[in-house]
Amino acid sequence: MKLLLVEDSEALRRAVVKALKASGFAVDATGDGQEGLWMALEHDYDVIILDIMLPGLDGTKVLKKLREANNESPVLFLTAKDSIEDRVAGLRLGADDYLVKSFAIEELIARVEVLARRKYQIRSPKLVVGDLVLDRSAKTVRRAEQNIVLSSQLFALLEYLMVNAGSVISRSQIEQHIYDEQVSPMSNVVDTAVCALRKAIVVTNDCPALIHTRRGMGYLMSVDKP
Amino acid sequence: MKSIRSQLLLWLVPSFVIIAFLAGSSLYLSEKRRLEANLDNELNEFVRIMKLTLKRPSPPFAGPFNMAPEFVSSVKKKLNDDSSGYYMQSWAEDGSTLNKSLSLGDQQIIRPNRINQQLQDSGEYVEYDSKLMSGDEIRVYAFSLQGNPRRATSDVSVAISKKVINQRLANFALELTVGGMFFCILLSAILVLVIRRSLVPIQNLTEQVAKVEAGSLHNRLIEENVPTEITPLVDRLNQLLTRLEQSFLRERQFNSDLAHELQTPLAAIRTTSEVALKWPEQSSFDDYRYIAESTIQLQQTIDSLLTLARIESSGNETLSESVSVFTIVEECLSLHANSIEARGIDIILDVNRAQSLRSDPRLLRIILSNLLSNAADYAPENSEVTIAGDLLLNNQGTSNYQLNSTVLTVVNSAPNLTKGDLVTMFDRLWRKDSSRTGSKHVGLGLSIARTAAKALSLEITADLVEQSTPEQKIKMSLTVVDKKF
Repeated sequence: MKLLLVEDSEALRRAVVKALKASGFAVDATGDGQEGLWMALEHDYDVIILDIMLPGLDGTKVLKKLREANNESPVLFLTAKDSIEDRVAGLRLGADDYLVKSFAIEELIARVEVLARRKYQIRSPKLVVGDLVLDRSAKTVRRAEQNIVLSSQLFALLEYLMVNAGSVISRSQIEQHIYDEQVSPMSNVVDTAVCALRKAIVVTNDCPALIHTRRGMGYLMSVDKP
Repeated sequence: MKSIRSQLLLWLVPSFVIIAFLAGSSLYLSEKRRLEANLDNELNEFVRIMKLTLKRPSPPFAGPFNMAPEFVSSVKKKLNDDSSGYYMQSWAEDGSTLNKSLSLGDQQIIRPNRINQQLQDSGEYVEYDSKLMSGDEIRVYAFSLQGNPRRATSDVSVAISKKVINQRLANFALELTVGGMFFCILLSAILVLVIRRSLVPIQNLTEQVAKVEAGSLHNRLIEENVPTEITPLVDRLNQLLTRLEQSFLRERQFNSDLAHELQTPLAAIRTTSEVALKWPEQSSFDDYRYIAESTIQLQQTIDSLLTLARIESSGNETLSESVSVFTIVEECLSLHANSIEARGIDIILDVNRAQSLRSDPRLLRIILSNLLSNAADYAPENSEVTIAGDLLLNNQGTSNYQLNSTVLTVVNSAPNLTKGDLVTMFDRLWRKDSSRTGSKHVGLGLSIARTAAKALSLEITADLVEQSTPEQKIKMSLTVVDKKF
């Protein structure tokens, strides 16, 4: 899952980015409202975390312009404005959630996960493909009653493929959703990661392959071989 | 009894009663006068006939009184009828009764002894009110009948009963009393209704004011259908609401800004700490630096608020010492030397070294330090900041009292400031940058400077020089009054 964080406090932005990345999200971050709007319009983020009082462009204006541009990415306002009027105004403007500073980082991550699930119309935190089960809230993966330990990035990749199970996902889509702006578009980081994931989810010799390659198109997660 | 309704009723109802009483009395007296005049006319007419009858040489009288039948048939009828109310009695000079009408029966008309002589002398008559022995009131016309060879001189009194007009007057008085009471009750009822109706706008106004809450201060009281007497009150209330709304908006803005100034560094500290605890492998040395910076930011905000509160609560506890203007400016500049050097600010100091005044050096330092801090941090890089101290002498004419003023000005480039900013820049937590990014200033410096100036009874003003041009500058002026006794 790829997130955008727009927060002008460098200290807070840095800490939140760390926490989100550690939780398996790919995160782009900026401290300027205008730049944040440009990034949100240019990329398909699963969740946008937006401060209200921002230099360049106010957070509420960023959200308004996003909605005017038919960008339906879930938006969570992360702000010090704690009055009822501010919360109501933010939610009425089209925000999907509102979190007041200071906050527990666990709560922010949980809310971001809920918003990400909502984007893909998934209510349960568990994703199931064949005998592979991924629990998004517990951050666990099990197959054939065995636990599989994955790095946060592989977990995010598997989660993305399982969310889109049955659909072909291109490399660029994976890059966009799993990796942040630091990754070079020319690198083979996606292929390497998919290869590593394939190996990781094989727990027995007779395990059927779940990740299939569609040449020239991308990857497909499915129980049935295409 | 403090209500307008009570006051009006208290004054108007008795007034109506008095007016009704006076009007009734006037009507009663007028009617009485009219009836008495009619009675007098009737009596005079009767007397005239009587006189003609008595003066005329006549054949023998019929009945107890000598009257010619052709003249006196009606008179005789009246005098002989004991219920007619007409009476007549005559007396001889010795006071003995010569004649009296049958209508008198056993009763007597009281002879007017005192007037008798006068009547005889003048040959005229007198009219007066009297009573019969039965208590009946009568109107008497007394005259003297000159004697002749056939008849001796006699005094004659002709009277007419007032019973009828008294009865009429009593009835009229009763009618007036009942009518007056009805008038007063009706008028009072109308008055109550009119007052109640007139006070409806006040009641509506009261209900409107009762509905005013912190969240509805943008609403104004409706002046429609309000009497012109109350319109000024509604206008004043609306003006009060405007001021209250502005005050609440400032309060809300202050709370919002304060929440931002406190919550953001607090959130940074908390999140950085939680991340370091939960994902220790992610933590780095920079985390400590960010925590330290956020803590310093919090401390600055709290220190500034405390400074503001202390200056406000210090009241009149100010010192009065000799202060060298040049020294205090240099001290304040040294506090911001790093920022001035880092940003390449060129300081032009135009203050006389020998210039001194009596003031509170502690508060003066706070004021100047904040003004210079703003100039050093907000003037564009590599620009000039001019600090000048102009002495204004103002002799008041007395030998032992001299009042001098030193106007300290700090001028620096401020291309982004607007005229509207000059109004709000002294508000607490005001920052030109509405996003409140950055941690060096929290927006309390100018507010502290103005509060300190107020504590010294001084004034800080802000003006834009070369307004709306790229060379636009802000000029902060502090007039320091030096009182020497």
